[in-house]
Amino acid sequence: MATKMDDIDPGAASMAEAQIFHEIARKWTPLSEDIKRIRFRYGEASDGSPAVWITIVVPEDLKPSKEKIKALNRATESFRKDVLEANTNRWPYISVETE
Amino acid sequence: MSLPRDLLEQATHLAFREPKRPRQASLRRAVSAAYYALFHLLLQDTASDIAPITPPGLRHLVARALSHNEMKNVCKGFVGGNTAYVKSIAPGAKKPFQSSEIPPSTQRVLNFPLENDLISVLIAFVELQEARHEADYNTATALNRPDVLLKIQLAHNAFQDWARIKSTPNATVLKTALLLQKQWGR
Repeated sequence: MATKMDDIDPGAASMAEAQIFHEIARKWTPLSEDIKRIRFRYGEASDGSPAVWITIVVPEDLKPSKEKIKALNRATESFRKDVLEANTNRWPYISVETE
Repeated sequence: MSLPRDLLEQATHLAFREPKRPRQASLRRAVSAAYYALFHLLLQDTASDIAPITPPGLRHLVARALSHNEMKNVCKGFVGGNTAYVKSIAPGAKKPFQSSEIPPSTQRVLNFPLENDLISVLIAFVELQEARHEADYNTATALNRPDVLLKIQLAHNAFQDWARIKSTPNATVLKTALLLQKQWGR
């Protein structure tokens, strides 16, 4: 399955931040077979603090196995760690989208 | 079972309530239950640490004093402070440890680096609280089962990590900070 990293939406991020996320995105490429692409969106969390939403797009699966969820969990942990360690004050919120 | 464990079990039950096409209501309540499971777990252990078992009802009052927003702020601050500490001790680091995310009073009673299990619980709390907010208020985007199961897995992992870490000095600081850190800054 072809996988790709979506363009990073510049949104409200500064050039420096966009560069940081560009670097992170490059590190994650190529994506695993189960991930079709990844999207970034910048904004504010419900409490008004700076946030980045990372959406992992995966193939539709109405009843994913425990193994698949665990693998996705490992991937999200790795993405989250990279963003938290980067020089950005945005908190990473990660979600999965199916198509 | 306890309320936190019951809520976690309920989250899984709701995620699979409809075997084929899950209803949005089920998925949204599943995310909410996963967050409240972790919220009540931390609430329960914080109240137990801070208040004695008698007089009856005192622990309940302590638990009622905890606020969602403040808990999230404390959790984010601990994660940010720990990241700053880890960077400050990395080979080649030029700046000494300094963090504006944890008040100096809290920093003095913490042992850095914070344990990985503790960090996992803090991250799960922040992530799940935002997910609950989205699930309850943002109906513009449909939830899907893999995402909901991922959130439930995050809560499950946090329960396991918390069981290992909850009696350590740093976890004790966390529990107290969840309730009192705002006052320490005065």
